[in-house]
Amino acid sequence: MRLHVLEVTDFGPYRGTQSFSFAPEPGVELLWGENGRGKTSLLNALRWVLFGVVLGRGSSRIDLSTVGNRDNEDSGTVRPFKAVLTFSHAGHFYKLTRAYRDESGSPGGNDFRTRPILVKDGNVLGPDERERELATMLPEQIARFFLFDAELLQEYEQLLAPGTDAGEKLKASIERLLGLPVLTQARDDVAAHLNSARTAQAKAAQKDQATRALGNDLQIAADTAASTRINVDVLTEQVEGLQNDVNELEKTLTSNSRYKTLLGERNILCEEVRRRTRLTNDLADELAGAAGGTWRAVLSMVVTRELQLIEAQTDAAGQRLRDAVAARSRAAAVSSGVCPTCQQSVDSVAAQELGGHTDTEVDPDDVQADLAQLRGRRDVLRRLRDDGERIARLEDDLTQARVDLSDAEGQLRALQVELDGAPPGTAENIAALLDELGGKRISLDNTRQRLQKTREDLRRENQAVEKLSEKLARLGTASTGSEDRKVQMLVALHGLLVAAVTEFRDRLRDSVEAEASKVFRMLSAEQDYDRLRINDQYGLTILHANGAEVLNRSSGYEHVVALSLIAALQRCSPMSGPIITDSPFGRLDGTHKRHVLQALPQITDQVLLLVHDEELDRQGAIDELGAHLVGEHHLRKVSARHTAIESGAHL
Amino acid sequence: MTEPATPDPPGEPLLAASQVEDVFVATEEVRATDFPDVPAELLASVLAAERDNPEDRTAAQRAVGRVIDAYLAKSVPGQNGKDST
Repeated sequence: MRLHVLEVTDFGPYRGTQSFSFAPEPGVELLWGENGRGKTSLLNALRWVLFGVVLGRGSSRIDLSTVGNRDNEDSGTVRPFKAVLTFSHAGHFYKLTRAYRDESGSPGGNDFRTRPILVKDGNVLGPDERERELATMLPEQIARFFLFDAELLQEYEQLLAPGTDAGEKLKASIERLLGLPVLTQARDDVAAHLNSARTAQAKAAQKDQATRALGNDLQIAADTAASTRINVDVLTEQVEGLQNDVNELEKTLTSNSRYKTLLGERNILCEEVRRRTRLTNDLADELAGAAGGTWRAVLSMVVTRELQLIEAQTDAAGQRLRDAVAARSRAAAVSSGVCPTCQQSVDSVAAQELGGHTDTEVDPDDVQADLAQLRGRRDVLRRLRDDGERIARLEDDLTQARVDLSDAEGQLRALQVELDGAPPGTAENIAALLDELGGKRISLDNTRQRLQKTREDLRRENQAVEKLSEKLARLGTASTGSEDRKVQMLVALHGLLVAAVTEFRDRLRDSVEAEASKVFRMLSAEQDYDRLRINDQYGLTILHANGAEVLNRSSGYEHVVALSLIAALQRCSPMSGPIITDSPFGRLDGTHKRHVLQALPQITDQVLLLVHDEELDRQGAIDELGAHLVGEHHLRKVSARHTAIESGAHL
Repeated sequence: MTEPATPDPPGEPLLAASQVEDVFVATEEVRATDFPDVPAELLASVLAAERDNPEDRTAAQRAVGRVIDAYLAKSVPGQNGKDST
């Protein structure tokens, strides 16, 4: 396939009708455009005209009602748009038109439909022929190998993780590109005919008394297997449908990732506010309970001073009591001549000495009473002091809790302002999407399990059918002779095709690995990186010169490997075609950019690179491409929503 | 895409020639080595039927059925293929 002219009308930033003419000679063309000028839109215009889809981030499909140019229109107005691609292929000349237009027949109507028209060698093809022709020329499943950007290159990493849905789809696309479906479909169709032949064998056997019972058994077994086969097909379809739903939901959520993150943060903050509100309320309640004694806190310093005084008086009273008790004992000893403590007699000398120490008579009972009073006052003051400290502490805690609550509420308000900027219903939509995604994942898991079990059932049932069919054939009766021969022939043919699929797959992998390694060595700047090794899913790992796998390769090298795979597929496939790629150099350093430029002309004979000045040095590109550079174009800004496609580099 | 020396005839799948050629070569080698009892002509006809109907599974299966019945009718007189697929 060789592209000649792409004409776009009101597609994205391209206002009015504008043309992009591809160079007629083989080589590489450069389209220069700053970010936001419309490079991706030009790639999408090609996708649109060829496949009827416009892709956004994460390969999600963009709503066509938002694609039409809005340079002089209200942003809410749906605008028609159109793209026309002329190209040649296998000696034929094609003109493919795809238009998105209002078919209501009334001005300002809103019945927008997509209308494709394919003209082949001057003849308009009917709808069926058109779709068949387009599907065989360049099926959408393999479009990614011809029209791609850095994001699509990134997806090839999925091939390294066995069992992922994305990896399985990529593998299917690769095998489609490499021509394997001719063989796998032959295998499946022969299997279907084999099943039918066995049913016919059973019916023939039922007509003969000698083989009727066996024929009945075969018929029942074949019917059972046929029923299970239908179940497998239904479940497989359901799994694919659910997986698609999950993928779409994940993509939708990814495209809303900013609001999803904000919503997550909002939920956490809401919980934080609730927790801090509870804490504040609890503290306030506790403080209110102690509020009756709030005055104590006010008098805290006075109480402390008073308590120190009372404690000193208490200590002094204690001492006075001990002195009074001692004086009373001495007086009793002098008057009675017997010590009241040890009951020993007190002689006259000792009595005279004790009499010399007699103090002013103090009644210990009075002192005791004073002491009791002081201790009572001391205890009251101590309680006053403790209550005051607790209330003060509660007040501090409450103040801090209110500050924290206020902070959290402030953050929540700020977040809510951001969320208020989201389109109406975003929060509800995301919550609903998350619910739906959870439900779909559960359904997907359950359906996968049922599918696995049903497949096992089918395998057993097929074995039963095979045994009965073989048994019938061994009887060799005339009634089933022709059916037996057909079954026998189809069994052999089916076995051959099963083996051929395995053999062809192995060969494809070997070829892709060898070709990808060749390209990789051209692209790689690392001399120690020797080659690539392919896995069952066509995922490629880099091997070091010593044979060891290179782990944790850089994102730049991921792109180098992806480009090597695409180049290998172009070389190994009969479906080589133009490569049109958007910003492919973003992750590559200068050396790898030069290597890619050198390699591109060898990969395919029509390459269009959509690049910007920061990504690729023009003079360097001219030097590297040399005679292979066959055309330059640029995108000129007319207004924010109007870009003009012009020939030549913008200098 | 690689341009063939001559255009494909109208209605012919546009990418078929080299695609089927590769499949033929790989499959024929398997047949000759491990399944010599399967006629090469039958195998080639089945693959050609698939090649001619790449985007229509029903048509492809019918075409394969016709190939099988035709082969049986030719190789075994009286066998006209009663496949009801």
